[in-house]
Amino acid sequence: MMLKRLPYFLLLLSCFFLQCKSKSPAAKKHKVAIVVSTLNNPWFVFLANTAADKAKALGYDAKIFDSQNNTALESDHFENIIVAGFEAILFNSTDADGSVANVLKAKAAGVPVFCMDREINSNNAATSQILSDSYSGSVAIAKYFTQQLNKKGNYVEILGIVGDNNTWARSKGFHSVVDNYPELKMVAQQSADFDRNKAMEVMESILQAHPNIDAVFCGNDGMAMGAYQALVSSGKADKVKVFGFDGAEDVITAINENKVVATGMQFPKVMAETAAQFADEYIKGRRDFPQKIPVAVELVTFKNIQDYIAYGKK
Amino acid sequence: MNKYIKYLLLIVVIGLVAYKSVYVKKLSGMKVAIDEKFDAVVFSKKLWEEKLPARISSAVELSTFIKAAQANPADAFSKYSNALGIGNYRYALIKAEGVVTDINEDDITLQVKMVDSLMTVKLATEFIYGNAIRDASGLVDVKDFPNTMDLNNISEELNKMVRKTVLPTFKMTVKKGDKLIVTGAIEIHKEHIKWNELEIVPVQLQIVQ
Repeated sequence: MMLKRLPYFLLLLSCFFLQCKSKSPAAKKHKVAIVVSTLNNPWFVFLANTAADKAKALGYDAKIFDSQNNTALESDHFENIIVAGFEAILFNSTDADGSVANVLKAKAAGVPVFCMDREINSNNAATSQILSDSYSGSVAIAKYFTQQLNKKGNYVEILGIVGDNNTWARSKGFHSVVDNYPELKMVAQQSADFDRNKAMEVMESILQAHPNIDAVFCGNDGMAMGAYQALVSSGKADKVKVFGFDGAEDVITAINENKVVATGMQFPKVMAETAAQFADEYIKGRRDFPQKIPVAVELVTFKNIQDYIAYGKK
Repeated sequence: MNKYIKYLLLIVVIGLVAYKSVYVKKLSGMKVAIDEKFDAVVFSKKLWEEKLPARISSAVELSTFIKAAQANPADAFSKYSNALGIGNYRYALIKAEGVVTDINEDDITLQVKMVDSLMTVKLATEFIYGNAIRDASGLVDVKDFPNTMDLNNISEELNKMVRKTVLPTFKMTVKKGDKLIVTGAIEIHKEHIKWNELEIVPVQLQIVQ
């Protein structure tokens, strides 16, 4: 009788051990995806790597997906992420409007999305958006810009990607100050897509039409360096004041060498780490996240350059 | 008889489906919903006139704030300052009494009495921009504003209020040697505090005879 029941007993015992093994933490590690607009720009590489490092430090497997500034590719990433069972997405969008559908797809699948730096145009798609306060950062730059130019002069504005909210937040913040001074005249405003080489070309062509300018405000530091190169080539680098936005390494060096006047220091580390922290808290049960949190942008000039390093403060 | 019951049931089911599928709303009701879009001008005016005066009367003395921040920065910032976002900037609503020592194009230099010394501070009179008043007031909660532009517009409207209602008369009457009582907002970088670069954005100014 006992011998007859022995195989059942052994089977039950083996099931018990198998179950114990499957519950071990190593076998069931949670996964977090990081989807970033492009890895062709060191600023976004830093953002993605910091988010991945923080997620790993919190005990997650982290994988980075590069959208190559292409919303269709971003859409493919979201589908793969949902199918692969990732539990949260730390997201830097390619397009404020075009990316909303992807975020909604993840939401419908029960995967929370935490936006980093770039805003999407929806107030109920992402779980939370942790965004650089581009508008206020540009207000601070514009105040310094106006002071440096003694409230008068001709200037150029080089915009980023036209479909990106940061482009307009920076431009609007800047104009909310400078437009109050009628003797500050904008002689040209053109987009260079946040691209250094394009900014150089744009600046070269603007200089031909408007040789007498006093300053240039650029929507990011890459474009500021491109504009500066064009000014060097035309022999106007000492006369024209260049202002950027980001806090990238080459501009921090350029401010130290008095080549660029100022930039707005963003904190990709703060945004990436907050997004990863929020994802962890969501997975553990928290649900009351503010829809949008601004992360302060700090004005960096020659006067306080010693307090800063690229992408952050010392 | 069964046929009639069948028809009756069918009518009830169709009626229920139709009732649950169609919603009729008054057009005037829809208009109200559209009109409820956030109005920064109205919101900021209400905040300025109805809520800010109470905060002004409870503003911390500048000397008290500085003393507290020098003794224990974290405690002082938590007790006396505020910020809507994440970052190093903190904003405090302060009160100070001082003597005008210089009137410049964009600001006024004040000599303010501390506990046992005098301190030089700037009073902004031209560049009234940024989030100092909005954040220092502690009256705006980021969770209530899913649109970041609404928050920016509140700052802008409060700053306009200072530029248009507080400063014009004051700038015409103030002179060197005047004694002032100032209530205003200050911005402090909590990692790199520079007391010698302190600038007050005025909210209320009183020249004491």
